[in-house]
Amino acid sequence: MTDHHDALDPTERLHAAVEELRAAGPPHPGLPARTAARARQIQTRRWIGGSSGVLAVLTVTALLSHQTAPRPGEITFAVRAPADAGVSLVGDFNEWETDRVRLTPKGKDRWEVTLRLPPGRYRFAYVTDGGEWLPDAEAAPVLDDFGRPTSVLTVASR
Amino acid sequence: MDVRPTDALLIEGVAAGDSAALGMLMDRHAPALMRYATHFLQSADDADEVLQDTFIRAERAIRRGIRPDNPSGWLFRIAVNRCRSRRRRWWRLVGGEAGEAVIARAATQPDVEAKEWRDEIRRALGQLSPSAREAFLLKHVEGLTYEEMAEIVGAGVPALKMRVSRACERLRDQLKDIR
Repeated sequence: MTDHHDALDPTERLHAAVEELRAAGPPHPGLPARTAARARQIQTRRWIGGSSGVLAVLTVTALLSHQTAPRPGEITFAVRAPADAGVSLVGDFNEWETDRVRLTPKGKDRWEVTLRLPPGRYRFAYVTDGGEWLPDAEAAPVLDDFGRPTSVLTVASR
Repeated sequence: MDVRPTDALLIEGVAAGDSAALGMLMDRHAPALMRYATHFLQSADDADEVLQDTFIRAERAIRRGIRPDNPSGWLFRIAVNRCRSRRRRWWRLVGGEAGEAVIARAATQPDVEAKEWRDEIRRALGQLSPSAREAFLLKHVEGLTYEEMAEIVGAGVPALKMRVSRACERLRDQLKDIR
């Protein structure tokens, strides 16, 4: 298929429709304030969502830990997986070996580890002890050489 | 000379907890994200929530050290995923193909301020499959290249070209008898 199939004739109705769609209204005013309020609401919901006192304490600990920004040059890798999953971090920085970087459980379904990496571009993924291959939810996706879903991050020089 | 801070600089500000930097990032990217989400979900209110979720996730990722190569494409990818999740949740609530029929009907509900032409475009867009609607909006309304779309959507370029082509064909057919 060639690109000319996608070119829209300026005289056709579809072209006029696209122009109309491009002229959509702006975001609702006050987006930053509403976003901040929603973020607080989500954290509160997580905080009161624990089914026991112990779990609540664990959740609060995890939240406090998460709120602590990594120091310059440090990256916190985090993934959602069941508490009993056992998760390793593999990537270009550790030759994709599953026994080198283990994540620590934080709360009921979150795993984290913080690393210091030199500037560069790295492909990485999370692997559970059951062999499940998990990409990062927020990093850019890419397939590895075997077609498995992995992620890419760039560590900027500072 | 353009003295606006670059996205990379704003992202470093967000990482340092500067809420003004996050606000500037929103001002810069929210209009295109809002346009996409509104057309995909056919609801400005749902799109607004998607935008809030998008920036919450982006801020969280930046604070844990993620530095996107292409901030605009990265934000689009988060928003596209949030739109998909929101649609899947809605789909489960209303159920299967009946759900798509409701989307199409909702798009034809008269809006006192909307013109007939705009309603017809929304109705036609609402009748596309979600993947076709997604590809059409990113290509023709947001003006992305197929390579950029592939990064955002996670599909190959040939598949995306096919989706766009079919979406155009369907929309042309839907719109041909209007006005």
